[in-house]
This record gives sequence, structure tokens and C-alpha cells, in this order.
Amino acid sequence: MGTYSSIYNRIQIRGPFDPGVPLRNSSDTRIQTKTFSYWLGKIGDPQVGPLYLGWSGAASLAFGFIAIEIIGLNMWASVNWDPYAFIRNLAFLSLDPPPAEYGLNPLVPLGDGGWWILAGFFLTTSIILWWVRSYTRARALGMGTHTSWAFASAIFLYLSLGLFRPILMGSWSEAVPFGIITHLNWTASVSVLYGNWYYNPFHMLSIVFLYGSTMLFAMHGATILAVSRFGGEREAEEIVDRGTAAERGALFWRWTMGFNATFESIHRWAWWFAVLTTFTGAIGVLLTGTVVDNWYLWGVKHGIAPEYPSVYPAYPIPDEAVRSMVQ
Amino acid sequence: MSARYTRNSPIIVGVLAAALVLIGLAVPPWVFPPIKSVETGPAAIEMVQFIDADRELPYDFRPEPLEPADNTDSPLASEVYQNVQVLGELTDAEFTRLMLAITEWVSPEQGCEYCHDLTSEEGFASDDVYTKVVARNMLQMVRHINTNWPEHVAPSGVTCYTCHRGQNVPPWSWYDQNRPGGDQFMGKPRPWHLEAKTIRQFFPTVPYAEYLMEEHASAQIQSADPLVSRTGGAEVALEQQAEDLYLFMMQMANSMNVNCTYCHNSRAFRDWSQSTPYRWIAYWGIRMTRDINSNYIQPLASVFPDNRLGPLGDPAKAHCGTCHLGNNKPLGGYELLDHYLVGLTENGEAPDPAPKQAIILGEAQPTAVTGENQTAEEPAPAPVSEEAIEQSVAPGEGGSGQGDGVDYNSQEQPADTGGNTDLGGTVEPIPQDESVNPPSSEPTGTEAPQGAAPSQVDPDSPDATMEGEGTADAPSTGQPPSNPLPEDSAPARTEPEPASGEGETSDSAGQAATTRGPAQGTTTRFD
Amino acid sequence: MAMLSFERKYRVRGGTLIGGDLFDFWVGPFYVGFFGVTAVFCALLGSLLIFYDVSQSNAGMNVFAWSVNPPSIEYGLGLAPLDQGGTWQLVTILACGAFFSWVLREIEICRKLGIGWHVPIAYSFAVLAYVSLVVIRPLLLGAWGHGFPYGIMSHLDWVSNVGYQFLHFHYNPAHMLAVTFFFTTTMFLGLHAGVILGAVNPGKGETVKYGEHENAYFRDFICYSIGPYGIHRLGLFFALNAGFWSAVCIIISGPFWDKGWPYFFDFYLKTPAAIGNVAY
Repeated sequence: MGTYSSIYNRIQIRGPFDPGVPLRNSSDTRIQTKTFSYWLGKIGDPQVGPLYLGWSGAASLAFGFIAIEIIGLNMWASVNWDPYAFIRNLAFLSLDPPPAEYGLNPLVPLGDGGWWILAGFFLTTSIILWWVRSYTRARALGMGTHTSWAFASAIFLYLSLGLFRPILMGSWSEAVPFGIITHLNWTASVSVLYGNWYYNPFHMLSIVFLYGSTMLFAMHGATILAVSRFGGEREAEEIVDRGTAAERGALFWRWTMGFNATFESIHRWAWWFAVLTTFTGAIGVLLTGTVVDNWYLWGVKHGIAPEYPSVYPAYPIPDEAVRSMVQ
Repeated sequence: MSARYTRNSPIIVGVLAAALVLIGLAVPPWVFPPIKSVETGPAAIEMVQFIDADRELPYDFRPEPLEPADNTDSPLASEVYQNVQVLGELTDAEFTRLMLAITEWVSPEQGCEYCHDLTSEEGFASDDVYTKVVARNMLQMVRHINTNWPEHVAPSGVTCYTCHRGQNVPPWSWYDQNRPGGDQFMGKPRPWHLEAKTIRQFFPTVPYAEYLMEEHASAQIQSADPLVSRTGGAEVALEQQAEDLYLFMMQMANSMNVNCTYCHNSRAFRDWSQSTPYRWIAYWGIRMTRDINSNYIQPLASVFPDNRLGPLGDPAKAHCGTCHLGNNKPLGGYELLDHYLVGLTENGEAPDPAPKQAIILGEAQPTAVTGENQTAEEPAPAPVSEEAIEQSVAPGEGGSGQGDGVDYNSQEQPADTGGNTDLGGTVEPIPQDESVNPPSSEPTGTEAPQGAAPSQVDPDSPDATMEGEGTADAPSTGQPPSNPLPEDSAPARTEPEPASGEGETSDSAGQAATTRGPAQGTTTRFD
Repeated sequence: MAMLSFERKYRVRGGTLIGGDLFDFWVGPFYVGFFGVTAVFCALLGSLLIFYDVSQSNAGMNVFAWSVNPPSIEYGLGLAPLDQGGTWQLVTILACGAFFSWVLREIEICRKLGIGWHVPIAYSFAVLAYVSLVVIRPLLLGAWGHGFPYGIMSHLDWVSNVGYQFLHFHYNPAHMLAVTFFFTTTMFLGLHAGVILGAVNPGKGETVKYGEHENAYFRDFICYSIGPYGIHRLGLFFALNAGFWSAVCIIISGPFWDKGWPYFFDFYLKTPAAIGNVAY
């Protein structure tokens, strides 16, 4: 490539529609969409599809549709079916899990969180079916299933929040509501409730991997774009048969920081960082309230909390506050 | 074909992006530096309050106290008037002065007739108008607060104006609200007030009912143990409880234009040893509010007419913002009460600052301040160093100690406003700027109490309960939402020079504020 | 020599930004260059100052409690005594020096290798985020004390307090954007790394797959494959946006917004035409 297209494609090449490589072990054939998108072509490949649906894909979409409908209709109902109010307040509307008094009872009245259980069931089924699809599609192409296992790590976090931890705690009410603002409120409340989420070491790790993933993608993406004039974006080819793009990319990092990955190993770094982001996050979620009740005090117990100078003279604490702290 | 597109698309995308950026920059009410910041904790961990130097607080006008009454040979009010149940011990002159002040504070437009049915046979003595019954109750409440809650209100105390600010109904208040329940198939009551005109109204009031009534929930939501107890007993509250407490605390911070770090080091909210002394003041404030909501305001539910009650039939109750209205000290600590001690306290004395001072050692003080002119904003002490705090620990070192461990000076002389002869000795309400106290009506729109019915938030929508209401307070239904001050109204910002003799009340900064106590008496004291 | 088998032919003179061939050599695997010298100088001196400052505290060998604290805000934009935050100010200057040197050094290496400047440009976004926290925002607020302390737990305490300074930081619109970009970048990274690893590690008895199969996989899976060039561009774009909006979200917190972030959305409720503030 003589010139970079670092922001968008200035030139779009339209060949014939690529029907895709032959599939193995697949009951259905691909849906040949035969569609090109000019705007998608701006940022990447203009070809849309073909899509393999299959039973798992069809079922996943159906279950996902039901879940979205349950959530959406509940939200709409909560504004008395006013379409205008629904759109205006969409960010604030919510479908909440059952209150604490139901415990883990699966048969909760629909209006009192039963819909939340149903939506959660359908959404979880949909996601798991989608995972099945990520696995079978890779096998049908004779590829490794690395994507599936990365996806599984994200599902593990989702299930930890919505299923595993509520089961460990013995109450659906511990789960996250479906709602844009309300899930943020949940997050903030839980952080306060369990001492201080920043002192949760698995949250620390998760953030490290989240920032690390972003940094890695910036490093990797920038490197590939920088060597794209040597054909560096054809990574699998460069992995198998190293060309000058891979050599220059490697040497850039070697000269910069004394160490370099290869075109293959950078993807292993990337995969682990992405997987560990959600995996460590899920561990942190599962330990909260089941093992650790107050992460700040956990930090104090293990001596990691720094001390700050006291800038106020000591003053007596109100009796009532002392009493309830001791109890 | 593609050549044409390659020229257009960057323009389309660029214009869209520019439009989005422009909206994001222009529409939200951004503030701009300089921002005043006040450090309330140790350096480095950003326990800092921010406030825009240009921030205009709502209802910030400070009324001047009325001329002192001439009590010579004045008979007692109970001898002159019938049915004086609370203030009978005042002299007639003092009583009249207080009544005029209350009129100015609460019903400057409607005047005496807002509470007194002068057309009736009994005249002033008539209790026919509900507002009079309410006013009597509120008078008792103010006296109760000033005498029994010095932990929170000393030294400035409260007056009717602290909440009313020239309005019939205090601008910030709240009504009860049902917690979303599960007794319906779909369409549960929603947690938000979707008719709200401001975010303040938008949040649910369920948390206020939980924490601001005497039957209250526990705020001890966090565990005192790092690990889960071996018995398996829950040591933390439910998530919903945490969310409610969070909303309540947000109300508190927003009411005072401070943030969580004003009282807490957020890494350990529950830990008193890492909290600032402001938390101690707030602690008593919450208890004071519980007291007045349960014992003074809620009992009035049967007195108020329907249009003064919330959707669940409760009167508009107080939260932190009802007095504070965006200021960490209501009206910047303006000591209006000092001029009305005989009527507005139970014992004729200013709220005793001793408990507060013994704890806080003077006043709870920020450790450092940036920005200019902060002393004009509020009579806050100048930045003090740790040495200064240590000095203030030892009573008497400031040269003004009384030897009793409580370090403040009483005012040497009774407040004397005699130098101001403009009023010619007559006791009259002080004329006020029109824009400060516009005609008062039921608070609607953005000023409607939290939890108000949609009809109140949207006054233009027809509402049967407001039709044909004939009492003095009732606004006509079609009136525009009252109260909101023009954002740029200058009078709201001006800090009137306090009456002479009290000149140092708000303007003297630094040590003066730390060493000077409230007035011990005024010319209005009745002996 | 710490040199890769193919490395020698790439080690050529030239491409420096300033100084001609001064410092135009390698030490082990590292390229030095003028900016390498300045970077090492700043980094070493900064590290020594950090250790000096930590040694003056009572944190001992508790690495988690080590912290180099900024001055109290009472010093405003002036210099503070060394033990009152002055060390933090020096460390910050040196850190900025080291980071800027690093960017310039990366540019020199790009020039030597004849590749694009994408990495230094990307890295400058990370530097921007750092500078926003310790220079731009403190300048706008009028005190160096608004910078964050350099310590493992102390910077978390700082983040916690800054979050609660705005009551509920999740309501910060730029924070919402930044978090979305962070999560999405990580998702893209997992998908991209997964498909590349899957293509070249297809399992026993399978042949290695290339771009054709990568495209086919994502088309089968989610109906669209952005392509090998596109994914790196998209990932870089999202990663840089994560950094950029992080910088924005902290710069607007304080200098341009002084209340709780939930109350920011007052304007949404008060805008009549845009969202129809009507009764229903």
C-alpha cells in the first residue's frame, strides 16, 4: 500500500461477492446476502454477510428477541404505555430483580420481579446458544476455538453477576437490574455497601487487564497500521512466513523497550489480557458478600491501606453511632 | 462513482461531528474556571469541595432585621390581644415587630391576611384560616429548634426566613411516595418522578421517608468486619438499602453544594476517625430533621387543605435543602435570629454554641482554600494550618478564653441598630426588591416539592383540586410557576450590609469569626 | 549481541530528529538516540526522587502504602517545600519529560524503520491522559494539589474521593463514553486475538488458515467481517477514544462542572423543545 488509510478507506474495491469457504459438519447452508455497504466500506470490508444461521443461531436470536421484548415492554408499561415517555426516559427505565423476601424462589409474581427472572432466563439462553454458535462455526471452518473461550470468559462475568452470586447469596435481589442508569446505581451502591470496591484486589486486577487490553490494542493496532505499507495486516501469513512487516514491527518494540512479541505471540498476550479482564472481575464479584464483607477493612487487615495525617483534632463520636458500630 | 463519495463523506461526517460537539458545548450549563476549592481533608487525596466562583445560590437575599422595638411601658401581648398562645410573654411592641418580620419573611405579598382572617368577628384572634394554625405550629418548631438543637443550628440559629425565603411555602421540600410495589401484572409504579422538571425532583423520595422521620432505617449499611461472619448472619444491608442511603446522601450533599468528601473520606465512609467534624454537625442535623418532620410537620396533615398535601396526603416535609438551599450554612451563616431572640427561642437565648465548639473547636474549618474572595461568599474562617487548629485546641490561648474550655466571646454590646434612622422608629416591613420576593404561590414547576403530583409539577395541566380555592394563599391556576429567581438577578447575589452594630457579622474574616460568639442579647430581649 | 537473526540489516544510521548522529547507536536491544538519553535521565532522577520521598515517610517496605503526595492546595500553583509535595512536583516534571522524550524517541525509531508514526501518535494519547490529570486540570483549578498521588493505594483513594466529589461519577457523560470505549476495545481485542490464534492454531491435523477463513468466520458468526486492516484501525480508534474521553471526563470534572454529575442532567429535563418537556 503506497499510502496509509489510518482514519478511513479512501478507496473502496468492489470485487464479486465472496460466498465464503466451504463449511464442514453444518446442517444448513449460508444465507448469501449479496449485500455491500458503502458506509461499512469506509471503515472496513464493504461486504455484508454471508451469514450462517443454523439452529443455534436461530434459537439464540429468538430467545434474545424474547428477552429484549420482556425488558422493553416492562419498561414501556412502567410509563403507562406512553411511547413518547418511553423514548424520553429510556435511560432511566428499569426491570428490577425480585425483592429480597423472595430469596431464590423461581416462582415470583411477574410484576414483582418475575419478569426479571424470565428475561434473565431468555437472555442467558440466548447468550449460551450464541456461544455454541461461536464454537461450531470455528469447527466448521477447521479453525481453533480461541474466540469461543474468550467469549466464555465474558459470559462467566455476566453469569457471576446475575446468577452465580445471587445463588451464593441466596437471593435474586442481589442481581443487577436491566436498565441503563439503574445498573450504574447498582454498581455504585454495591461499591459503598461492601466497603470500597477499589480495595477489592480482583477489581484491581480486572482494571489492570482492562487498561492493559486497551493499551495492547493501541500498541498492536498502531504497529500493524504502521507496517501496513509492507502488508503487515496479513497477520496469519506473516506468522507462518515472516516478512519485512513483521520484522520491522518486532524491531520497533525491541528498540523501544528492549523486548518484542512476535506476530503470533502478541495475539496470545492480547487474548489473555482480554480474557483475564472479565475472569478476574468475576472472581472479585463472586467473593463479595460471600467471603469478604468489607473490602476496605480487608485491605486494612492485610496492611495495604496507607495512612494520612489527621488534620482535625479528635472529637467524640455521637453515642448512637458508636453503639451501632460496636454491635 | 466512488470518487464522488470520497469527497462527500468526510464533509458529512465532519458536519455531524461538529454539530454534536457544538450541542455538547452549548446546551449543558457548564461552569468555567476560576473554581473555588476548599480542602476538607489531608493533602493529596482530594477531599476538596468545588464551587464555581460565579455560582449564584437561589433565594440568597438576606433581609435586614427590623428596628428594635421600644419596650418601655409596653404591655404584654397577651394583655393586648386575644388568643396569643405562644408569644404571650412578649411585649406588645416586640410582638408586633415579630409579626411584621414574619409577614415579611413568609407572606410579603399577602400581608397579615395570609394568616389572619380580619373579616371575621374575632379579627386577629381568629383561627379560621388554616395558615394561622400552621404558623403557630411552625413558630413553636422554630423556638424548639433554636433552643434544643444547638448542636446543629448554633450559632446562627434559624428563623422563619431560613426556610421560607419570602415564599409562602419553603422552596425545597418533599412529599411521601410509594415504594415501587409488585402487586401489578405490569406497570409497576416507577422509581423516578418522570414528570420532574429538575433532577432534584427526579429522584425518589422513599429514601427521605426512610431516614428523615423518627421511625427511621439504620444507616449502618457496611460491615465492621472484613470477612463474612462464620455464623452466616448478614452483616451488610441489602443492596436496595444501600441505594436508598446513597440517594439520601446525594440529597444532603446537593442541598449544601458540597460533595461526599465534605464529611467523609470516601475510602471508608463509615469510619468516624477518618471523617471530618462536619459529619458531626450533619449527624445532628439529620436527627433534628427527624424531630421536626415527625413532631411538628407530619401532625399538620389534618390542618392543611388538600392542595397543600402530597399525593399520599402528607404535608410537604423538610430535608436538608429546605433550610440550606444550596449553602453549606443557610444564608451563609447570616445571624438574623440574634435580632428576634425573645420570640423565636424558648428561653430568649441564642442557640448555645458550646456543644458544637467543644467538639469542633471553634468551627469546623477547611484546612486550605484556593480561589479568591472566599470570605465574601460566606463568613467562613480563613484557611488555618494545623498549628492554628492546635492553638484553638487550648482554650484561652487566643487571648479570649473564658477559662471554661469553651472559647468564644460574647458580643460586648447589645446589637444597636439605632444609628439607622431611616425608618424613623416606626416598625415597618423593609421594602424589598420585587424580583427577590415575587408574588408567592404554590410552588410549581421546577420548585415543586419532590414527590409532588404531576399537576403540581405541571401547573398548566388542569387539576380539579386547585380550582375555586379561595384562601389567601391560593394562586390562580393559570399563574406561571412562581419563585424561580432569574438566573442573572443581581439582587440575589448582593450581600446586604448587615445592620450597623452587627457589621462584623458576615464581613469580618479569619480570627474574628473563630473567636466571636453569637450575641448574648439584643435590645429586643424581654426581661 | 542481543540481536535478532534478521536485525543487523535494519540497524542503519540516520532518522534522528535532532543531534545528527549523536547517540545514534544501540545498547543491547535498546536504541538510544538523543531522546533516549533524556528519557533515561528523567526516569532515573524521577525514580530516585520517588524512593527518596518514600524513604522520608513511615511506609517502610510496604509497597502498597508507598506514596509520593502532591502538595496541599494551599500552595496554589506555586512551588511547595520538598517534604510538603515539592518532590511530587519535581517527579511530575520529570515524568512529563520522560514521556515526551519517549514519544520523540519512538518517532526516531519509526523513521529508522521506515514505518508510520502510528505508535507514537497512539502513545501521545496516553501521555495526554496523564498530563490532563497532573497538569491541565490542576492548572484549570488553580492548585497543583489537585493532581493525583503516586502510590498504589493512595491513587485509588484519590480516585475514590474524586468520584464522590461528584456524588455519582457514573453519571459523567464523558466517563460513560470512556468506559464504553474501554469495554468495547477489550471485546474487540478478545475477538481479534481469538480469530488470529484460531486461524494459525487450528488443532491437530488441520492446515493453518488465513484471511479467507478469518473473514468467513466472522461473516458466519455475526454477519460482518471488518477485515484485517479494518480491525486494527477500529481497535486503535476505540483504544485512543478510551484514553481521550478519559482525559475529557476528568478535565470537565471540577473546572467545568462543580456539582454532582447526576444534577448535570437538569438541562435534559429543562430543555423543552428537544425532548418535549410535557405532561403525560
